[in-house]
Amino acid sequence: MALIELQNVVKVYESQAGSITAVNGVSTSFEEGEFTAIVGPSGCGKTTLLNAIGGLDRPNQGHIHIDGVNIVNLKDRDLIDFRLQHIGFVFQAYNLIPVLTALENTGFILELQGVSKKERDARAMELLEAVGLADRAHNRPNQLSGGQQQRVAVARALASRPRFILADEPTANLDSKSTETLLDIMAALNEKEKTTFIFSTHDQRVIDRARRILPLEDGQLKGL
Amino acid sequence: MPLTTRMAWRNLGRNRRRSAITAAAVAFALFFAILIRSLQLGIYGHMIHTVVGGMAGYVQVADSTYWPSQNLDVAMAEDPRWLEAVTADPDVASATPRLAGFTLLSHEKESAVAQWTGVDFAREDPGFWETRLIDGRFDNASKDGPYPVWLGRYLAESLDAQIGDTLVGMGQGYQGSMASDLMLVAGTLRLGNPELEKRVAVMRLEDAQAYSGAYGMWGTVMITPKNPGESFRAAASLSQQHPMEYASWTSWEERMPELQQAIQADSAGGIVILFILYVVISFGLLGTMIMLANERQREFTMQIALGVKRPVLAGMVFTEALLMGVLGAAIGTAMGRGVVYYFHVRPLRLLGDIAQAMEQQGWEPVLPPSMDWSITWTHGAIVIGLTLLASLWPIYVVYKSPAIHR
Repeated sequence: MALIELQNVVKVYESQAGSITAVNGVSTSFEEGEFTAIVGPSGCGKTTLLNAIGGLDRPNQGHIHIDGVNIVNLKDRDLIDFRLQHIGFVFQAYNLIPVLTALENTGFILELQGVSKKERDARAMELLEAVGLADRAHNRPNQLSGGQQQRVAVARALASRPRFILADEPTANLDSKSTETLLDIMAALNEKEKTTFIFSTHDQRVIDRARRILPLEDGQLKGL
Repeated sequence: MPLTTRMAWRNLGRNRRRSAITAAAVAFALFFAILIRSLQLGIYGHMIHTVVGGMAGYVQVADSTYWPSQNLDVAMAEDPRWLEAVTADPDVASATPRLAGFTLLSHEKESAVAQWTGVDFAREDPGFWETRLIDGRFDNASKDGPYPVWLGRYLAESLDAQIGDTLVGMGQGYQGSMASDLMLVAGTLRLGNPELEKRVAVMRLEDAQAYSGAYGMWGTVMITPKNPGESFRAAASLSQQHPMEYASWTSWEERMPELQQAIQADSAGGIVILFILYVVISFGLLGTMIMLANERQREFTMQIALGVKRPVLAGMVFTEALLMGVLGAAIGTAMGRGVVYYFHVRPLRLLGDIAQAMEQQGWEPVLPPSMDWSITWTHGAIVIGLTLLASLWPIYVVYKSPAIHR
């Protein structure tokens, strides 16, 4: 059984200008250990599709099964818990918590899961070492560069060993050197931790590193 | 430290200006509340202490027909054993007999109606009377010659009498006898209540008994309970434990309902002012909380996306508001109690028209604040409560926040 399975997922937004179909009947699946990029131009529905897979937004039609659980049917409260236990997120704008240090940000999800301080600090430090930021463990986000913040965000997403990580345009705000470093780190962690990565991107550098590419156009998956 | 408390504490430092404005609003609200209420309750306390504690008694024992006429003819026979038993009661701070009546006092061409009051100085708190003495002394009054008398300051003024002057007293004595004799002005008194100061003439108890012919009689016995605030209950319980035939036990609230009503009416005015203050402060607090919610909306969304449950986020915002409220309340308490303590040591004495207006209403124009901590706790709880109430807005925003930012 596939890790993630999408069946005829449709997402329509209502606006004053009328209905906008952001995702239009997407059906696909993702296996464990994938390093996949959903690609396409701005407005093609990449983020909407990623949000639907991550349980951040509910589709109007279709089913999304993760490890056999149809998350579309989960109640809001259960969906939050499902995300906490099973999904890691990396956002375009890093979204670290400003009042927590890099170490605390990395261990944030583990703390919400009730993991002991000793255990989460050890795991967070291990990941900060992996992303090359062990020496910045006690710095707050405003003391880190954009690239460093995104590396902490990746470490945070990996900390709880989620079933997969959704990364929405993770390199959009990074320079080329930071982008290369981040991709190297994610690729290495994918190899080492066997974590599934699903990106949405239109960055050619990310596309070049992806092992599977899903092109999206007008909310529909197209063949390469 | 739990995650919510740690984040709430650190969030205070993120927007220091907002945190400072919120804490300052709480601090100033509490400062003014403590100041206004302490002065108000202090004035009432001072009035009750002087009028009730000093002259009428928190609890009074008298013949059941003594009130409201205060007729000397229904005075009670002295009962020293009963008085000792009452004095020894653990709930009683003091028990002192009094004898009072009305008389006409004359000095040269001036005359005035006075209420003479016989006081057993040996049993009474000497500090109370010493602090009320403006001129003269208590301890050097002669046992021979005219009866020494200490006049309320306005009574002395209306009689144009000075210390050492001789007065003529004439009035009704005990059970048909005539009370008439000479009196020697031994001092003038500030009793803390202008109405009392216009009419009271204090005498030694034995002199009052001799003047009125009520030998071996008490008009009333004034009892001060250990807890004067519980006078009503004390009157009821003490009357059971120390019964006296034909006597009735009354608390000051029963005997002086007009004083209690005047205090309640004035107190209500103060509460209205505080209510307006709290309404204004509440809007200020709500404003800062709306700012907080707007600044954090994106962050709330992001944390919900990561898997933070809404009650956890709400708890964080609530804790943050609580910390700001407690911080402001601590500052407000320090400021309020500091100023109140200063005025407790150096009470404000009003002058001019305001003083006159107060005196006409029977209030001494002095503002001694109450040092009662319950004022601080009550209003501290109110301002912290208002802060928490204002925090309901960001909590509402947390619960309305989606998991994605559109």
